Amino acid sequence: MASEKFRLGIDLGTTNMIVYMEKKGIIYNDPAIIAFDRDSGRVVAAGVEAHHMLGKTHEKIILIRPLRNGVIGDMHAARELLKYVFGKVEALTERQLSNTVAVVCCPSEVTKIERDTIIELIKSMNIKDVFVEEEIKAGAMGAGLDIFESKGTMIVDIGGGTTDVGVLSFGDIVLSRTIRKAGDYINSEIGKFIKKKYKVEIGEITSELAKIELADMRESATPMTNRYAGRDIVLGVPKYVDITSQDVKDIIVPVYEEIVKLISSVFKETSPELSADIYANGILLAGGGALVKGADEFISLKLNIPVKVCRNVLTCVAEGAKYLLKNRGDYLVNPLQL
Amino acid sequence: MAKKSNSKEGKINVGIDLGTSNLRIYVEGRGMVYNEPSLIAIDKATGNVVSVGNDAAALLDKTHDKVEVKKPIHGGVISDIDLVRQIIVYTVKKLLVSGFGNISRLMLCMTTEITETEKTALETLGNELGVQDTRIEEEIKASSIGGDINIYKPMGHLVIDIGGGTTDFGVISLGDVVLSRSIKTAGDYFDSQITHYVKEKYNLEIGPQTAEQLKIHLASLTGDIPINEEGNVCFFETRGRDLVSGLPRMVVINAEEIREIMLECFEPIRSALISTLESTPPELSGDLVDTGVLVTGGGALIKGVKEYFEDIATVRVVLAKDPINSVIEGTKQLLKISKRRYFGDYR
Repeated sequence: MASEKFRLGIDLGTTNMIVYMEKKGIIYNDPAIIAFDRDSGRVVAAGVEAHHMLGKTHEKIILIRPLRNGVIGDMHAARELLKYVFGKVEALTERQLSNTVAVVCCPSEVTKIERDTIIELIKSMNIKDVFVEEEIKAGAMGAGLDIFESKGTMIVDIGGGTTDVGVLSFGDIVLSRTIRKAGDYINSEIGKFIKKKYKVEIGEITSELAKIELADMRESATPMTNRYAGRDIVLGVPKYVDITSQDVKDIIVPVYEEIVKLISSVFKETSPELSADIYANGILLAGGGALVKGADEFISLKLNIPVKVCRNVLTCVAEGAKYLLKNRGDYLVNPLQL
Repeated sequence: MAKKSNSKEGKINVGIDLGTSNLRIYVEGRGMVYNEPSLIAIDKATGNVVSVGNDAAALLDKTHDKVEVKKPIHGGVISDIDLVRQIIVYTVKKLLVSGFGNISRLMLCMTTEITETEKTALETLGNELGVQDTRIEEEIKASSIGGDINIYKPMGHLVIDIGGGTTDFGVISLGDVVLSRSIKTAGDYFDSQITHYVKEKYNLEIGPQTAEQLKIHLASLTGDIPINEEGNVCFFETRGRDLVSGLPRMVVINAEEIREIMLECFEPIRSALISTLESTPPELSGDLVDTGVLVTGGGALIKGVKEYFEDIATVRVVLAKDPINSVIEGTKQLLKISKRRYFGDYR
């Protein structure tokens, strides 16, 4: 049976896993988290449902994020999560999987061993044909940039576990840097800050919610106050806490300053010719961190370089995988023209 | 007894709530068929069961020394697993003509402080009796379901169950107990404190039933002291035996006196509640602001208990509609679930 090959693009993000399937589009876009039953090892929930369980489980459920800081931390959980995606969501059979090409996108500064782990993981899913590519490369293409010209472009991907900065030209990465400060780091900083300032402890989901609702770095931002529930650390009783957008801003600004530092350190190593191109084209901002209001403005002001936010910040990596599947990461073949 | 082990027909599900003070049995399709004290009377010489439940309670303190009346569960802890077996076997055999042969699923609700060994012992008991599906559940879980909480959601709930022997605190989320605490300050303790007070103050010895009546009629925790129709403070004519003369005597005890005793009794409950709240993970604690606290068990009937807990927890407190039977009500719901699960719609 010489049936057509299935093609999958997988963005193994720390917070979100996005799977793109050729001819079908994005088939899965949910938090990369999975819950197991401790006794039987059975999968209790995955994705959004498992995400709601964060901080709320009893000891009979183990909640695992298979990816930590952009790399696979728990092989078994990662495999189960992929099984869940392929089996439950798409109902791909073993046979179909063996006739599949997959590209996995990972952060740029991962070691050889970490890459091998990813390949091993996908191979254990019975997908024989697999290759690993950098997220920023896929992200740039997913955002609609033509990276196959000999023209420098810069992309900053602020994800869940890592922030990647990359300079691309002529179809591949010229230079890239990663720091492990991104969305998750901001969440935990918000938790710490609220505990210190208001003496109320809030959970992981709540601090994430506060970030999403209140994060605003614009100068002209209207101050906002939202009410969240947590536990009073002095009395121990449940308590509401009013978090202001200024509180969140105070936490976010240092993180983005760090990102700006990273960008400028990349610029220092970029050849002047490429720098000139980037100055003309501007920096492309992607990932969940790009959704923070005023993030582009902030970076642009600090560096005096125009910054654009790509239109599909969350899914651009998976969408870019579409092109990588066509040229298998070969810089000589421009998939946009295929 | 003819065992039709292969046919599913005529199979029934049975739930048993092994409380410190009461043993309740629920049979699917028949409702609660048994609700009597958890007492067993055994013949000392042969070890045979003489009677259980009310019949055994009637023998309490009134029997010769050939018969011994025992409490197999003491203060929320199984004191004698063998007696627990006997009490279960005896009552079920009495209730169901067909005995254990027809039970397809047996659910035992136990206190939170049950050890793994005891759990295994009870499961083995079920298997020995020919029940394929024996399950042990925590009372606090059953009572929260009985109190009309949908526990199969990633949402935290705090349940306080003031029973006979123990007061249990449980934080429930995703269909199971996240953390629980159990203290031995509960109904029986209140009674004994009341008995003690009457003895000290009035030199009057009263029986446990009288003490319980005093509690039921007069106990209150906050707000105005309960008053009767004539506008006076509620009182109760208490009869007992004078310690000095040894003759029967009657004293009048009013609600104010009982209030003081109750407040003192509730101190450990108060601190256990605070420590439960303190150890609740923040995400679940945050949920409590919305979901509030559920109070079940006989203790929920004490006047002012709602306001008392609201003052401590600073969140809304809800009293279960039928606090005494909420465990058995929850057992009923749990019996319907064929597989262990943690979330989704359980009905």
